[in-house]
Amino acid sequence: MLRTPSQTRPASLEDLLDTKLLARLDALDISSRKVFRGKLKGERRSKKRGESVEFADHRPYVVGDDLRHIDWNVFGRLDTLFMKLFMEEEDLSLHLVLDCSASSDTGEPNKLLFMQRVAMALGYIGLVKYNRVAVSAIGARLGDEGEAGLVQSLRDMRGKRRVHDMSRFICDLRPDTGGDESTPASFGEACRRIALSRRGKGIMVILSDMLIKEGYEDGLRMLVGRGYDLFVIQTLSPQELDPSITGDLRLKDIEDGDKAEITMSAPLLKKYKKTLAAYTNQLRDFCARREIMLVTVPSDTAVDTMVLDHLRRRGVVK
Amino acid sequence: MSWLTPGLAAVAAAVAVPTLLILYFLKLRRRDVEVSSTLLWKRTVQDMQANAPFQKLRRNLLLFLQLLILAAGLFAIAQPELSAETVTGNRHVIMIDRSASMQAFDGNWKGETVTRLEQAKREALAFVDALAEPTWLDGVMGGADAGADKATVITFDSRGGIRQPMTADKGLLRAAIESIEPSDAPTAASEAYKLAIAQAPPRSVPDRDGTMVPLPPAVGTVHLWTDGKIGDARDVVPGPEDVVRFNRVGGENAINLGITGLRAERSYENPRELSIFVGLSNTDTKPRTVDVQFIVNGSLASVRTAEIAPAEGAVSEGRSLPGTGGVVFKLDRAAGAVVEVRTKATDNGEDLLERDNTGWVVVPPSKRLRVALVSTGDFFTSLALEGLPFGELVQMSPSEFESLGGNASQFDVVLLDGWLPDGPLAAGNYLVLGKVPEGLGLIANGESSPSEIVDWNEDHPVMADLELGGRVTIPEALTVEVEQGAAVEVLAETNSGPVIFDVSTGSSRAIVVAFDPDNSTWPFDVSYVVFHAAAINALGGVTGSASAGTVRPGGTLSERLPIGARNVRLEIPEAPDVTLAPAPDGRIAYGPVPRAGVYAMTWSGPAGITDEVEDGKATRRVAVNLLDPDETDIRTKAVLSFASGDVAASAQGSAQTPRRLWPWLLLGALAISMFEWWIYNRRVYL
Repeated sequence: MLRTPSQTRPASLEDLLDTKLLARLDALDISSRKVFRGKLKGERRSKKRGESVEFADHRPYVVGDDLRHIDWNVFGRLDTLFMKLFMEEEDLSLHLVLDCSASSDTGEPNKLLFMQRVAMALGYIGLVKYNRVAVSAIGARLGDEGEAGLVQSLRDMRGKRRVHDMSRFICDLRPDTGGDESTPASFGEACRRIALSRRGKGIMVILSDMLIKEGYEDGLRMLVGRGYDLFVIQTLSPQELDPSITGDLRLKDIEDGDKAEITMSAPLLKKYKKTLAAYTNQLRDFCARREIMLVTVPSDTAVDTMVLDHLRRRGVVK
Repeated sequence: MSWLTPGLAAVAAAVAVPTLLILYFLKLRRRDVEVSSTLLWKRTVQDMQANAPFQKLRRNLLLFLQLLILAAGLFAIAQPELSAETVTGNRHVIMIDRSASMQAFDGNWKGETVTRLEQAKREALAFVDALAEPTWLDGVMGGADAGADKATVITFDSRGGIRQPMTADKGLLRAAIESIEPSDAPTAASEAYKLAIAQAPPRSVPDRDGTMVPLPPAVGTVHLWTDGKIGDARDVVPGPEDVVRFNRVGGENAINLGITGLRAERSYENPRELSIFVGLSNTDTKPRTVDVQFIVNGSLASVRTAEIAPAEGAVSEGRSLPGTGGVVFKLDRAAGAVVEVRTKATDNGEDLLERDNTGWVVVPPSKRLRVALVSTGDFFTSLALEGLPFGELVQMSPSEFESLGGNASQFDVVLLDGWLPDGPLAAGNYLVLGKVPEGLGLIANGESSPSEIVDWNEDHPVMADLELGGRVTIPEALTVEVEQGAAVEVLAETNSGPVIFDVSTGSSRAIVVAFDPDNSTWPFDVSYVVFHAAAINALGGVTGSASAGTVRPGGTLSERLPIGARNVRLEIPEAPDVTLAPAPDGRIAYGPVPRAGVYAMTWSGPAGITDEVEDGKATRRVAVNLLDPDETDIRTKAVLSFASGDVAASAQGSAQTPRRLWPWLLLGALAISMFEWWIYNRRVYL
């Protein structure tokens, strides 16, 4: 919840993911509940039976089928023509969206850093497995001196060679803390732009705390249903989940400078937790209705646990 | 429950409570904290604000706790204390008995055995500590210590004394109490109570026509620490508004053995044979055995074992009378001696009072007087003197006396019976019958009508044993006037004027009978002989009993030294010597005598017939003995019977050490503040 004191920014891939984890990530692939037709042949199994070496099924021959795929061994035994079906492998578009608003740059451990790590891990998997990977950042600057933009993107990366491009981009992301007076980046507007500029179909992973004052609904609506399988990873800091602040306080919103006066007390804390739970449930309901997968994780989760356990279980990676 | 400084607490409350409330309701200075988003907080607070009454209540819990802490602090400032009794007014009289029995070693202070006086002092100090102190508020409200308790410290043994007049200064009160020393005197409280009354402020009320009518003084609350053995309790008259608290010290069944009687007598037949009688008393319910040591002039002469009967039998004031016993010690000694008698219990039983285990008796030497009777042939007088044991009795006519050249100094006493030499008397001691000598301060003024002796000075050693009322009829006596400033003591009076005088001048002492006994009925009464014997002994410096003048502690040591005594020093046991200036007639007085023991007077100049002389200095010793059955019976009394009614002993230790509550209040405040801190930190509300 609180601004992270003297936040250290990651400088390279090694700062984001250690080599051991990378080795384990090599074995994974991005998965999608929906199957999309890729643009290029990739390492992705397609529902389409295709031309890879991996056997999938048999089906009766119909006129017009490629004779090269008739299973002659079966014909020899059964005297019936069966087609041998093979797995088709396709590439998949993976779009990672990071919410780099000032609010994500808080917490202990820092939420943004966690999101960067998860994004890097997923991007790495995507690149290694020859998927098309794009990274977009909402409300971020690139580098300490960089210009702030509503959406910063790095698109059409493919293959392991691009890992370092991607890590540089992710490491360079800085939250846009323009000050009290600046209007924070509009989530809805950013989503609209991302939706308009999307290419192909695939998986979109949104990493954000989802604490969006204007409402997350418009933005998500904008993204859903446009050929993307949408995942939302809501990252909350432990301080947001269980605040430890005490006393008579004036809370200042780090993004818009909005102030709330509270006196911490047990009922207030209880109430806060209820409100948080209600907010998350509301988000989950919203997502469930639109076939968006939602994962809520505290920022002190280890990245390997996150990727190898949480995301794997939810079918984001396999 | 009483409050020592309620005014101060009230002012503090008037300042602190509104301050706290104002501070509380002022806008809180909140700490700024940056958070990722106020989204959830705003929603939470909105919900909470919907429950505003609950919110207020919750918020007030801290205020309530703070008020509680403040209240505890304020009550602590008011210094509440729990005591069984309500205190009337804020004037207290601390009266402490310091008589001999208060030295009994059965007091108890916090489990430690101390003397009764020590216990009384400690309890009185605790009481002083609990008095309300003056506050700065009193200065504002008028009077530097108007709101404070005031107290006076009065001690008493046989006399009362103000140790500290009425004050609110606890330091003075404490110092006064700590300075109290035990005395060996018996107990009498009426004088002390009069001193207390004397310090009460005068009060009066206007009556119907506006004149002020005085009211009886209100002493306030009298806190009396004593063991209850007050001899003159019936003479103590507490006012109708006075409250007397009787704080009893000592045990009701305290066991003590002591000397209650001590006397020395020489045998009439053989003056060398000296008998010393010792009376002993026992408050134990068992018979006791004591060793009685006789120490003559500092060396142990004899040890006798004595049995003392148990306290039983006749009951007086709710208790049995102490058992008695005695022992007699005889020794053959013509010279004077100081005999010290000590008792020591030999049966391992208790003996709580040490002071009454020692007694002294000063035995004068068995000297005999040379007496000259100068008469014109008086029958009765010579008859009376012949039977008396003088060393030498010389009868002579006036001419024979005059042929001595008026030099009377070879005789200890000269009796002038109906005759006076011409001119003033030469230096010496005279008993003059029927004439009034010149130059002694007496002026004869004609004769009076027939009369009777109606009053006589029983305190004077000469007249002490006489019974003259209605027995002596005087047909004619000289009317005598006393010159102003003359050292004359009237020994007997008739209904028409004084007739017997004790006269002293710088060089002479005379006892003058201003009527002719031969013409009166006196010679036919036994008192005539007794008077002559006593008068001659008194003039010759021999006291009647073999034990010279016994003085009680608390009394006055009064002695007549030979005329011309100079540089008189008095040695006092357990105290530095004092120098006394004798009056022209040789009298010295010192008092009150604090302790028992042997007091020795030393002077240069002529010595009396029984005085010791060494290196040209005369010494006379006087024994001061406790010898008081009431003090030796140290069993305390539960009820004091004053003139205004009975006062029962208050519960042991309840009023003397009032339970002060402020430390507990402060502890409570600390506990509440810790609780509040816990609540504040844990954000837990009840």
